[in-house]
Amino acid sequence: MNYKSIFYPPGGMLIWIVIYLELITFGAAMIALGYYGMAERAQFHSDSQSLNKTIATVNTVFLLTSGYWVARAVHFFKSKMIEKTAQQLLWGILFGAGFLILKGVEYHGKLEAGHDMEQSTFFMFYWLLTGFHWIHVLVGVVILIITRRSVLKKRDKAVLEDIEAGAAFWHMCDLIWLLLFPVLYLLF
Amino acid sequence: MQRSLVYSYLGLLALTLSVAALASAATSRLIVIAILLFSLVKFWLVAFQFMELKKAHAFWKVLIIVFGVLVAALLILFRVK
Repeated sequence: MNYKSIFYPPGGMLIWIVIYLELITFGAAMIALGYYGMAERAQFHSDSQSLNKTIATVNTVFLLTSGYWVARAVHFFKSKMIEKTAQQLLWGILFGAGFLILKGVEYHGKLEAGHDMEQSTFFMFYWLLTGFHWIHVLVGVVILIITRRSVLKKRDKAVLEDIEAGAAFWHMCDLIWLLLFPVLYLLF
Repeated sequence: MQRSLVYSYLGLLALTLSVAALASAATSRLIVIAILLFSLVKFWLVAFQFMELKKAHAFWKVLIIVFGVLVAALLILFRVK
């Protein structure tokens, strides 16, 4: 694969167009959050303090660990090590599922404490940004499961670009979270 | 191959823990800037190492660098103003 061509980034051009569109959308929302935070600094500070930073840090580790296994899976597939590829993908899926469950626990705590979307501007952003991200992670886990099944079924006949594209989507969830985490939990 | 992935992963974990430790310290402007810069480094590490953007055409690399700089600069501007 000639990655140096502008038309063939790893995973293909289509997935990278999707990735940049997603990044721009989330990026614009984060900038809007920063802008409103400038006007309501005290409120944003107290709302941000009520978020659980420990859960968010553990979730960051979960996503990074998952991304690491998925990156390894792509490398093993390139070496035609099918069983290893499937094994690494499974670890990626498990850590991704861990993120979803832990985030669910955090959401439950927030709702129990009455921190819903209508409470304040900060929590409106919190629910919209993390909610959409949660859906992306869920879709990412489903893509990883399908990719793993495809690798096990088609063996080395599976298409490298499809596996790279699935992995790229998964890493995009990482990228978005790596910006969401400091902006929502630490900045204010 | 595997070694660079391992180093990147360890670097990402170290930066995550550093960011969490910084956030628990007093929230001065300098710490806010440091948190965002550390997060930006993590963002680029994932893009270039895990997503293998380091092998891609310069166009895709420049795009991800510009995006990161733009978002971080605006957030720092709003936060420290």
